[in-house]
Order: sequence, then structure tokens, then C-alpha cells
Amino acid sequence: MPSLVDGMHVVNTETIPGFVIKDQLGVVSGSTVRAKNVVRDISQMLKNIVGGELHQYTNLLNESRNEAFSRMLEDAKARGANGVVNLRFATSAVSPGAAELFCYGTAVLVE
Amino acid sequence: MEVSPYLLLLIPLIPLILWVAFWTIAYPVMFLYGAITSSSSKRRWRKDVLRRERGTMEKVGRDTLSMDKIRIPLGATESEVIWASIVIGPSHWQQLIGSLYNIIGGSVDVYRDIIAIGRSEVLQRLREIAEEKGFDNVVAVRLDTSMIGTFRSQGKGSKGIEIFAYGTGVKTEVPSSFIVQ
Repeated sequence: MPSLVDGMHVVNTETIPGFVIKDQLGVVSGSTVRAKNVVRDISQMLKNIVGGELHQYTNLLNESRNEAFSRMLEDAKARGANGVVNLRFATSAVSPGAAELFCYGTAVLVE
Repeated sequence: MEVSPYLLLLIPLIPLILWVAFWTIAYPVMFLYGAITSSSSKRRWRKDVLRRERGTMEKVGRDTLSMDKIRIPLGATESEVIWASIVIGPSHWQQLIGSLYNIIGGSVDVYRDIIAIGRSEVLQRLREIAEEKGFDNVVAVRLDTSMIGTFRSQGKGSKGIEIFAYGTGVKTEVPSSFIVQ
């Protein structure tokens, strides 16, 4: 999970505590579609028989989500924003074996 | 030592032999192991989550998570989005029980239990991450559940249920007092 990246304020509330929103710069989004690799899948298939948490998949999805998140931040930065409010995440399985991770929010200029 | 040329013919068969050995020996053993231990490991997991929840509650004195997004804690100085996730795979035994329920209908308790525990686990992870980063409140918590992996009726590939929670961590000067903005 990225921490405050280059002074970007990212929240999933409407306002950023302690800051005033000066300007609204539109919806920014970032997405990534990740497929699992064969080695991970075999080990997780074995884990799946017994049951429990699939750590490899948890890590894989976390990495992918970080990627989607940083793409969204790049989009926001390109628009000259220094914050993103109302962040939302969405996950969908686009094909068996691949998942799309998507995050979007409103880019804002705060002071 | 002389190697019989017929043995060389077996080399292409090695993957097949391993495959047959897996399905005839390893798979039944793992399946039975999963069937026998699934309820006790579920109980152990639940106990562990409850213990950690209690630990956090005792330390902070209240639940740091809230779904509130209109009321922001008074004197907030820093805020940032944080998230936590978990992928849980129901064991093949539980999947078998679950598919039996598809015939007779009714509430599928095997899935309900592990999803419920997974959800409290994820919320507890969110609390722990907030504590680690020094946030004393997490507002606007959202939960998201999705299916990962192949969902065919016959157990090819792995099935996973992803539970994902996110919220805005807030640092406050005066904790546990709220104002309406």
C-alpha cells in the first residue's frame, strides 16, 4: 500500500480534513488486468484442496491494486491535481484466470 | 550398468505417472485432510480473529472503524486512504457440501461461515494497518466481495473469494469527539 505519494492527498470521503477544495478536475481512473501465473496457480490449487487463505493470490491482488492506484495518481498528476477524493475500488473477473482491478475518484486541487 | 532401452520409453510417461499418482494418492489424502480439519481450523481461525479484535478494542477502548463519511473527527490533521484484502479458498470438501446444497436449496452454511470470518479478518487487518500508520480513526469504510479464479463446477483451477476493505485513515488531535460538518 503506497503512503502519501508526493504530497497527493487521497481519501474516499467527500472532503479532506484540514484542507479546502479549490477546484474540481474531473474523474480520474486507473486499471490493470492481471493473470495468475502457472507456478502460483499450481501451488494455490494444492492449497485450495485443503482450504484456507490463498496468500499468493492476496499478494498478487495487492500488487495489482497498487499498480492501478499509481496509474490513477499519474492521471491525476497529469491534470495538475494534488488530491483525489471519493476514491472507489471495483474488481471484476473478466475471464477465468484474470481479474480486472479498477479504481477511480475525483481529482481535486486542495489548499 | 546397462540400462534397458525399454526404460527409456518410460521417460515421456513420467508426467503421466506423476499425474496418476497425484490423483490416486495425494489428492484423496489432501481431500480427507481438508474434510477432517476444516471445521477445527475454522474454529481456530475464528478464535484468533476474536482474540486480535479484543486486543485492539482493549488498547484503543473503542472500534476505530466507522462507515460514517459525513462526520469527520474534530481536529483532523492528516488523512489517507488505506486498504486490506484477503483471498480465501473454500476447501474442496466445503465446495462439495456447497454443491450438494445447490440441489436441495437452503442456506449454505459452509460458505457463509468462512466468508463471515474472512470479513472480520479483513476488518481486523484494516484496524491493524491503521494502528501501524498511527491513524486513530478510519472513516467511510467500504467492503467489497468478488470471485477470483475459475468458477467451473468441476474443480479445475482454484476458486477464491476475495474480500476487500478500504477506508480513510484519519489522525486527530482530539480523538473520539465528532462534529457534523
